[in-house]
Amino acid sequence: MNSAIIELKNIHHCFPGSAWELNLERLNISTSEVLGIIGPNGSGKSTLLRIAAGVLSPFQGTVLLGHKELRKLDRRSIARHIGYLPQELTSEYDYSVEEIVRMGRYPHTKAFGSLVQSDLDAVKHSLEVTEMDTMNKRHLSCLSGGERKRAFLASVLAQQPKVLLLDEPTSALDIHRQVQFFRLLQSLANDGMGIAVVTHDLNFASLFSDRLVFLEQGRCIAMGTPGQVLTEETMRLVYGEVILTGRHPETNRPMILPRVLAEEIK
Amino acid sequence: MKGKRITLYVLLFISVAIITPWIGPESIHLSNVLGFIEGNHNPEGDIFWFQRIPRVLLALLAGGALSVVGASFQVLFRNPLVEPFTLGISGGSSLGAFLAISMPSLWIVWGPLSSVQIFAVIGAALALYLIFALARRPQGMSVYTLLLAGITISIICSGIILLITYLANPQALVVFQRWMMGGIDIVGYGEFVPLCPLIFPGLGLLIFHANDLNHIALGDEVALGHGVAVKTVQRNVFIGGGLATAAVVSLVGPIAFVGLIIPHVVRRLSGFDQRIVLPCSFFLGGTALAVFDSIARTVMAPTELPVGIITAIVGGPLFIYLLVSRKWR
Repeated sequence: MNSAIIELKNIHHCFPGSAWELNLERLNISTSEVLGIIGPNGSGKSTLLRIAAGVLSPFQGTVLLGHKELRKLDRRSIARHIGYLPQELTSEYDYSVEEIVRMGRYPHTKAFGSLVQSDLDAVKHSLEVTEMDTMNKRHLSCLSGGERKRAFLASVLAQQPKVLLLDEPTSALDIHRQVQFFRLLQSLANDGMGIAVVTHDLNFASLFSDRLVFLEQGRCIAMGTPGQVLTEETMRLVYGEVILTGRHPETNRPMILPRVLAEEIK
Repeated sequence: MKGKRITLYVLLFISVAIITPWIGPESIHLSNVLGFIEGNHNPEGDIFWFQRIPRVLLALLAGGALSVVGASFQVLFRNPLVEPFTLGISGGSSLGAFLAISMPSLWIVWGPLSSVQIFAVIGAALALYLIFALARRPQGMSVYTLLLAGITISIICSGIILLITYLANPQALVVFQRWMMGGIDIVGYGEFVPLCPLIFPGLGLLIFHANDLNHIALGDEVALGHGVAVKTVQRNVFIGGGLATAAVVSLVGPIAFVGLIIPHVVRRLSGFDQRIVLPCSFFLGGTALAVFDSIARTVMAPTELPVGIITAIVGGPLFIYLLVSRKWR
């Protein structure tokens, strides 16, 4: 039985000077599952994730971590439970991979961030899990976009959170790295972690998510298993006639393809 | 490893602290200096203990403080060109000092502090408050608004200074111009000791947040995700840096470049960990200003040059070198 770690209730948010609104009645992010958050550009995926992470306070509504209100908790205790990886990962300074990962131990350390053996073990484990252990001395400026994402993921994993909130973590990754990445998320979920991942890739979301939330213009239009959410009707409703749904040959999960006629590509 | 790196800077700092008091237009003999302590009063001992030592101490403290503030502000504002004076604090301080210099009715003395120092601190404090009030938002403080507000306050202060310059008498202008060049030519300990309660807590606050600044360098959202109370750190670093800058500027005037360049030099030599960068910036900044001041008081002896001229002449080319070199960040 999966239990909810983060609960979002009656969320309403908007930005000053913009007519755009996010309205969400209820969403749980639970243990031992991968929740895919999908939708077209501007549908509110990242805003929803930022609200769940406590990085953004909603105008209205409640976010619960366990049974406590997120906004009443201090950042360190939130970070011990929630690992948040934003979309933009830049640094003014050229830190090494190991330095970045060590920073993930922040919520477990005192003011000056000195690490003890248990912290170093967590850092080593995170580097190994993300396969960044061989690049731990390399600096950010020497990493590709995908390696950079993995370095920051390792940093978030070093926090040893109960739930991971990831915003477009595979956007800069090659396809085989994307597969590895989502397999890693699945194995973390199998070990009990709750994972919410924002992605534009509907096929990866379908294959590797236990549940999907489909957002459109700040509203949840479908929630459930990939088979329940990625239907022909929903696709047509959101993306129009340019999308074709099929099935994955191995898993029989929905697959999304562009609808192109043979004569169009001649 | 970290300890070793800091130790090298400390050794350099101590070496300069020991050597530079002996450098100056008048040669000083050790026997006279030691004799002065034993009660044998002599001009050399007097120069050493009441001119050179306070001067070197002030250079070490002011250079160190400006460098730490510069290093912290560059991370806080994610801008490698920021220095302690970018935020308009020195603008407020200069305006206060100029008011004190140009208006005889404002000449007051409070303990060891002159009216120039008092008004420089008041001007800096007002600028600090104004910038902070302008940048505050219900959801926290915006560092970009803070930077823009600082630059705007600086421009406003410059405008008022120009107005007073136009109206003030020429004698006051000469004194003010000399103040603006920066100088460490103090006599005795009375002037800078009362400002230590501003400088040390300010620097302490910055050093306390050194580790937090590492996370802020990765972006506010990553820092929040790691558990850093970003808004609190931004506020504390701004106030701590502002206090230290205000106190230093009131003593030595706006000495350029030290707070801008030293952090970059430290990062090139010792990496990007702010827990190393901040203390090392203090030691290297203090060392550099003490050396620059030694040059200032000897290069055209018996005439002493304002140290601000030396820092700008040496610092400018060094900054250009850092600017064009590959790993200048």
